[in-house]
Amino acid sequence: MSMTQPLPVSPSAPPRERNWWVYVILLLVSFVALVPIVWIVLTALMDRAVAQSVPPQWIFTPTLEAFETLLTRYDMLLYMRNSAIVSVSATFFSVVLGMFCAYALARYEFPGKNDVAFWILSNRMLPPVAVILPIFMFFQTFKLLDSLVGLILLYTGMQLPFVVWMLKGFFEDIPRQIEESALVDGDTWFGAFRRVTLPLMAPSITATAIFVLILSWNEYAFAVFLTGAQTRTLPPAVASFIGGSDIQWNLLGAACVFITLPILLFVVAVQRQFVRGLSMGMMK
Amino acid sequence: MGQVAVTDLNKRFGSVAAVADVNFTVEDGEFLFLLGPSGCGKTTTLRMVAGLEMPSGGRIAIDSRDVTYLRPRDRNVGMVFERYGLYNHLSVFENIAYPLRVRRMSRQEIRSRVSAVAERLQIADVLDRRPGQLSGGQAQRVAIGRMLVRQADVFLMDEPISHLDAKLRAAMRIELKHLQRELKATTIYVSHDQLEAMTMADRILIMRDGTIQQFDTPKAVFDRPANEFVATFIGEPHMNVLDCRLTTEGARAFLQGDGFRIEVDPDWLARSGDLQRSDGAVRLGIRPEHIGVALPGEAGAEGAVEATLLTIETMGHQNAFAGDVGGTIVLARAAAYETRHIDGGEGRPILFRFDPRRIYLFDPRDGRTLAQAAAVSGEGRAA
Ligand SMILES: Nc1ncnc2c1ncn2[C@@H]1O[C@H](COP(=O)(O)OP(=O)(O)OP(=O)(O)O)[C@@H](O)[C@H]1O
Ligand SMILES: [Mg+2]
Repeated sequence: MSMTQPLPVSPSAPPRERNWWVYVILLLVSFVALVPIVWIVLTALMDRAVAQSVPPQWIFTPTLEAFETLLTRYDMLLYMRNSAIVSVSATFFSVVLGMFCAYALARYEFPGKNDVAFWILSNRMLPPVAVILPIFMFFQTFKLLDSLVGLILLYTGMQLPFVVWMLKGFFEDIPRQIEESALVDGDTWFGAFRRVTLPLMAPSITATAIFVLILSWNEYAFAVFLTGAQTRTLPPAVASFIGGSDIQWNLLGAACVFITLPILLFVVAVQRQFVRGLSMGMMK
Repeated sequence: MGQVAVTDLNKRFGSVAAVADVNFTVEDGEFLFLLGPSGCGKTTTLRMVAGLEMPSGGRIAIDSRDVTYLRPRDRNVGMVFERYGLYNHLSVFENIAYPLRVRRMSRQEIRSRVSAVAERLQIADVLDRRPGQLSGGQAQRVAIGRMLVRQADVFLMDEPISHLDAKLRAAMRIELKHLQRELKATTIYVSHDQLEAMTMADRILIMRDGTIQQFDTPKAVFDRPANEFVATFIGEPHMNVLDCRLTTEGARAFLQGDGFRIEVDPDWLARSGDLQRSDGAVRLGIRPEHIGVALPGEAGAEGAVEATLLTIETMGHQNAFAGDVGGTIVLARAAAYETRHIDGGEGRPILFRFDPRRIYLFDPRDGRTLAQAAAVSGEGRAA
């Protein structure tokens, strides 16, 4: 069109917003957050000589040497498999168990309800180092040391309070009447829970499960003490590259990529459910 | 369809007695209203009939089956909640089909029943939508549809239309009543709206603080209220109530109040046995439409009560007058054409003519009705 369009704003409206400074801040924050990650990925692609060189080299020929070494000499795939088994199982069990606990706490009145809720929460208050020794002895007694089952049990117990508290709030946000509707319509308690409450809770449960999965995947303190050569998970495996004076930076970088990449891809894939689930209680 | 018998029903929440010794029977096909102010225990009573709340005592029977402590699914009642009743993650079709799916009906049967109900409630064109995409009126129809779709013995509704706008509410009132008559469905309907109760109910159960105040037909609770609470609760605007004493001068009887005196029929007083035992202090009740309005000096003003005019509300066909009678505000309502000559002049004296045949007398201690309006009780108590 050749005609000049009148401005869509009223002449007496306040001046246009100028928020270039927002972009400056965003750029700065992104830069600070991304540089270490970029550096890790770059290091992972260096060969041994380049990685050790001082001052660091920015220009080099990328190579997958470090990844190859990790796979052939260090059994990285086994550790990744262990991590996956442990964190997925622990997530599954803690979410399923925690869901019912949370439901009971959200829906029913019973004596000592608040004490129970607080007691569950208090299980998360002790730092891991404070309980490592007793748990170690416990595991020894029950022959759980160096077994994935032991780790799954422990992580399930560890994440349970988190799951219960998170889901409790979400359950409380779902009106009771909708379950009562289903009961009057002729459903059983469990039928109403499965057909009505769970579908409404799906986004929240997904979000909680993602959280728990990340926490379990990254758990380090217990994994160091309770696993052996065959049951090692990724966090202690990666950390083992830091020991001693002769750190192989390119291997460490590649190991970091190993531990980060799966969870990163996963979170990117489920990002939308995650945000939807977390914000569910807030929009009403 | 079923008959519901409730005997000595009680429910306490901690120290609160939400429902206390409630007895009533709903006949097969009857439309019963639970009516009362907020917090009087209507919802609690209904929830106990539905099985969502367990009674602290008493008995509930549907078709002489004792269902007092049965789970909701074993009672075969249908219920409409005020809100949040719909399953937001399911389509309208699936919402209505839910009770049938629970009963494992065949796919064909479900489809034909749901479409029949949707047809009747005029929601056939929204069956594919989610509840979030419906208007308030449509959503409530869906909830009603879910109740209708199966052969429930009793229909329960907890203020199903009270959050709709006035126009829609009026339409739904007619529709619901028609539906109930057509299906001959035993229905218990909770409401705090007396207009709904008066227009739709076969019988009304009026509650207050968990107890039954009166259980009768709409006409009876209006004409022959059991006590002052019912008398003032039913009727809009509500009945005027004034403190006064019974006095006699020879054969004549008067009600002497603060700033007024009304002559009443001594025979009428004599007919009330309860009145003889009282010490003479009574509360006089009269509805606004039974008070005539006149200016001082007008013809027919003798025996009228003097008042100071506070406001006049014009409502088109009627005028409402608020006047001060000895410190009590009295409302009168009269046809506009009769009171056209009285306008403006707040603060001026005015005369209220209480129709002596429309007067009720209440016991000031417990509010019991001591004497009925003669014009009403003359029609006979058999109705
Ligand atoms: N779950 C509960 N726990 C404790 N007290 C309750 C509970 N449900 C109801 N009450 C109390 O019981 C009384 C009756 O409540 P109910 O909901 O039956 O009133 P209602 O007549 O339906 O009122 P409204 O017209 O406001 O819906 C009220 O005093 C209420 O506070
Ligand atoms: Mg209620």
